Amino acid sequence: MTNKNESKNQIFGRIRLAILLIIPYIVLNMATGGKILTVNNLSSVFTSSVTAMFMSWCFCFLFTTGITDLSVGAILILAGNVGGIFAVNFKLGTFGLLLGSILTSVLLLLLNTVLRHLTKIPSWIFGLGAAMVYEAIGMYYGSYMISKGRQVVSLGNTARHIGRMPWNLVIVIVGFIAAYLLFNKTSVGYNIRALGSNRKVAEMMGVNVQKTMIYSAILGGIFLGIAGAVNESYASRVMPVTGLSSVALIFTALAGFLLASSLGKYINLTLAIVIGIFIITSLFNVLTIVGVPSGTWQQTVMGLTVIISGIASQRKYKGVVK
Amino acid sequence: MMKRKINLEYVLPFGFLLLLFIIFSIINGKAFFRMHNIKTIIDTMIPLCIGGYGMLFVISQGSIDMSAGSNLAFSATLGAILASKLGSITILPLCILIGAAVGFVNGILVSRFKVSSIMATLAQLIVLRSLVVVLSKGNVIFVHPSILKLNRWGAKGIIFILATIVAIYLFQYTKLGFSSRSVGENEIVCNYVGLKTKWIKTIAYIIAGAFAGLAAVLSVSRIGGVDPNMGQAFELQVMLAVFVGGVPVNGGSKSSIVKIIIGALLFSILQSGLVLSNAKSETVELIQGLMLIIMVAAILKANKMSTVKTMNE
Amino acid sequence: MKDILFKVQNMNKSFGITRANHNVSMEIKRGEVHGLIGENGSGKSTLISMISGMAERDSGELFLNGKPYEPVSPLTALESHIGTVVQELGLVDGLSVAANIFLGRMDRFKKLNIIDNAALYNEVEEIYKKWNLPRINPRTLAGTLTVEQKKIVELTRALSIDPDILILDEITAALSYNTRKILFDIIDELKAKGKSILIVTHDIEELLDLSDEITILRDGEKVATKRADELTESSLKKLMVGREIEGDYYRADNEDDYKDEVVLKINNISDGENFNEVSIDLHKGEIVGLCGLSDAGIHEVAEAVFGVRPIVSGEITLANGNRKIESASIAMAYGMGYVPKDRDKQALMVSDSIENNVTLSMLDDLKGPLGFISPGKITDVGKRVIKDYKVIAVNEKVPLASLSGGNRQKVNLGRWLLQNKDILILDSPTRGVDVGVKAYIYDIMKQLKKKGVSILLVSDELPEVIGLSDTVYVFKNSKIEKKFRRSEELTEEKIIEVML
Repeated sequence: MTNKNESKNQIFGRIRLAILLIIPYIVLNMATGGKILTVNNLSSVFTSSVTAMFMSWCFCFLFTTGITDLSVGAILILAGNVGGIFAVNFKLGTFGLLLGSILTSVLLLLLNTVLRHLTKIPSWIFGLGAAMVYEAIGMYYGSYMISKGRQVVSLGNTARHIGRMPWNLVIVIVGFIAAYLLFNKTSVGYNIRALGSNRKVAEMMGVNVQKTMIYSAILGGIFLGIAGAVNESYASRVMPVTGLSSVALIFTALAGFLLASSLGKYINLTLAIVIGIFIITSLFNVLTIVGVPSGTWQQTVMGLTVIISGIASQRKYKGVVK
Repeated sequence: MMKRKINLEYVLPFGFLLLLFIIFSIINGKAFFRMHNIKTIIDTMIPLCIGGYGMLFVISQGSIDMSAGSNLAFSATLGAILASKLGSITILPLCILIGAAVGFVNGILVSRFKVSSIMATLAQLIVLRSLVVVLSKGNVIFVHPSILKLNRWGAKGIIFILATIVAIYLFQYTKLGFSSRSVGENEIVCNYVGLKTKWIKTIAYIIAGAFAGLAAVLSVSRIGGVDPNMGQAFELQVMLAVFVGGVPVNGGSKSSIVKIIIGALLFSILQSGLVLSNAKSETVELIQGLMLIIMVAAILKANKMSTVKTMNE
Repeated sequence: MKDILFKVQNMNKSFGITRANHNVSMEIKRGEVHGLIGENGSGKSTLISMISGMAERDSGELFLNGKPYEPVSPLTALESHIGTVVQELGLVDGLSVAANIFLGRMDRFKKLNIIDNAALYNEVEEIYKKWNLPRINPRTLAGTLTVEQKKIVELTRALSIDPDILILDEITAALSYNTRKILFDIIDELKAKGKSILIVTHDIEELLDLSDEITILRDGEKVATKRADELTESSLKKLMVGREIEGDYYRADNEDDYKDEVVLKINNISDGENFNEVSIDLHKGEIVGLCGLSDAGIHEVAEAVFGVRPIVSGEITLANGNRKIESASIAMAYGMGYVPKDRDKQALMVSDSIENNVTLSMLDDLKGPLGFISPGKITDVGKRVIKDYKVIAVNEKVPLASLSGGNRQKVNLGRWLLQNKDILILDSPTRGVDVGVKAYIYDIMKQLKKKGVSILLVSDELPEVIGLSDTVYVFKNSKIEKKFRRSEELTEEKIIEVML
């Protein structure tokens, strides 16, 4: 009985949600004179969502266990550049881009996990420190290249297709299937979700915490690596940054992840991430179309989106928040 | 009688201080001890202390305020714009009020809406910085020359000493300070003894904002105007000072104002030493990042050891 | 003579200065139910955690089937066919029932590395059928289950390994009559198959009924192991406490005795979740006891009365100033004190000093002009609590973590006693303290009553409620089921009958 009602509620919830999501697109489309719901525009929105989607799937594995690693932005930059070097300097093309990027992010996330375990520091502050270190490494590389009269690696014409239609669509579909299966239907996925829900009980029930954390870093690293590769491929050259500017890079993905967590009751988290990120990117697309300058008000909206997604994901939470 | 224990968490920062002294006097020689450099050190230290006093209320509760730097720029910008209409002297109260108002918003987000403090204030960091660009249209705003008087050693000294006294009083000797530290120890317990923890959290952010506003005034008086980029990474420097000084990262009753002063001094010496040795900006960031991780871990470890020690007695 | 299935030899475990287990040895025979009993804090749960791989032992040896058994994690225990249902663990709320049952052992459902959910659910249904357990939908999220359903899931998990030894820690209190019967059938079946059961319960009658042999622990040490048919309720109690229970352990009088003046009026309160339509009058000098099963809502009522849990209807009024209690700060300002159930999570800042913990509850009283709180006053109250309530500690600056459970509880109580509160809400005040401190706390309660202080006593221990209260309210299904006055005829059996 109750089960039937539950699934009924869930279906109604999904339908309501779908309507809630589609209506603004139609309204805004009319308001902007049909500029939004065109194939071209939607495909460009999608293209600029891909990096954030993969980053957000990375959070799925990494953040669900209770880790907030703020160095992922700095890792994204490093991974893209290493991938670029593999692709261009080692002449490995697309394969090299993916290989270099994935290797870098898996290794650095693993390093973070091990060091966090050894030092026992809260993850957010460790992430800040690590972000500074990784940014500095990127900058060393940048200034080394400048001292040689060059800039950081540029892909030129190598491996540019994976950041564009239709290849990025293929990558997202494959990525989604992989994320869905790994997160929901493997023992590692179960263990990661168990740790996120109740670490102590999970541990008492025999989930190996350290092993699971290592797996979550590896899986998260693979998705982050793909994000880095797609980002590099899309932009051709990714400049290193300083002063924790890299943290801002993860904001779209973070807002999408938080939004997706609040939709988690109706849709599976891995799919909700696709939808959440697409909505957020659309929001900026609309702002650009109506002429809001990027950098100022758009940044404000970005910050507010993170805050609102954060509020939405915490709505029913009763515990202590720091 | 009882032997007085040597507490590692106090020794650590001093050991670090000594180490820095030795390193920089070797690298930089006499330049390190010149009057000019000592002044630079104090000049760097004052805003860090002031920012740190405010931040301590938040950190002692186990939360964090990442928006301090943006808040500094925002209150400076809005304060300078308003003060140009209301009279230049009003910039002091204006900046403090604006900073406090921003802090209030942070506090509500964290306490009422339960957004984790790092997320909420990181988002605020972006929002406020972009509002600064909107308000200033990306240009430097010059202020009335009379404001520069605040940068004289006398005025600055008085502001610093007053701020320190207020901070010490509020943090060490009032219910607010006591309950802030207790929230850091165990928030649930505070709820169970009838403390209004939501309100305590909100007030902490208001105070953090107000002190960021005060730091804004000092910054404005030093450079003579408002630069849209001012205060960038200020929150990081403050955090470094706070943690390097030995305040535990999870807050609690071991947080104190003295630790902030020590930490700010340490950080300023490090900064000036690095500048004197012509370190590249990436080197500075690398060192700061490593220092953050190492010091936080070391203090955590020291605290744990001292607890275990008393348990075995 | 039956042969020995499991052997515990010289187990030791300390937490700080507290010796939770000291040279405990025990033998469990094949095909037997072995009972384990002792007061709170006697070391039962510690022993069980060590056997089931949840805690490391300091020293000692374990043997299963004559071979050394080294549990390094809960999974070792499961692999060795030792199934445990622990008292206060619970489930992973975010996962399904089935996932909870097979968490950590999911690999057996793998097909090409992907978990086959259908097979997983089927297996769970099979286990339900095999042991005749009430069916709980394996797809349901664990977080949506009731306390009893959760216990059944934990039991299913323990049975899913076909245990050679089934360890049950305080499971029956959470189960309804019907489920208990099913559990007893399972125990019989296991016995018939030559398996063993180690059972821990506070219900002495039940323990004598079920067990073949009983081991008694006191203050972390084994007192004796005896055949159940050699024991009676009173001889067992005597072994547990270590002396005849004297007349002055509880109250000596057999009648209710208090002033007519109502100091606290609880009028028809509900929180929309845990309790419904609760009305209680607390009189001057009265001790009111609340008891019920673990999900009956008594602890939540205590929270609501002190204003830390919001209520959706009804009201709580204090005679003092005719104030409605809307928050804990009002309750405190008008003379109430509250000792919550979970001492180390809800009441005390464990890593902070004694003086700070005491000060925390009286900040408003210590305030001088301009809100100044002097460190001298803080040290003062710390010293006073140590002296007045005989807290054993180096000084008032040491962290509470360095104190034993009983001494922590003295600090916890002392901080309110120091303030001469008129009304005290005491939720499980003797939980996890040794017998000496227990007697001390009962003494204090009796003295307080004499002084005219009113006490709301919430407790899972029936003897304590019966031994001290003037009036007893028994809760069932979130409501007051029955009210008893203090009398000679009021026994545990009468209350349990109402509770179930």
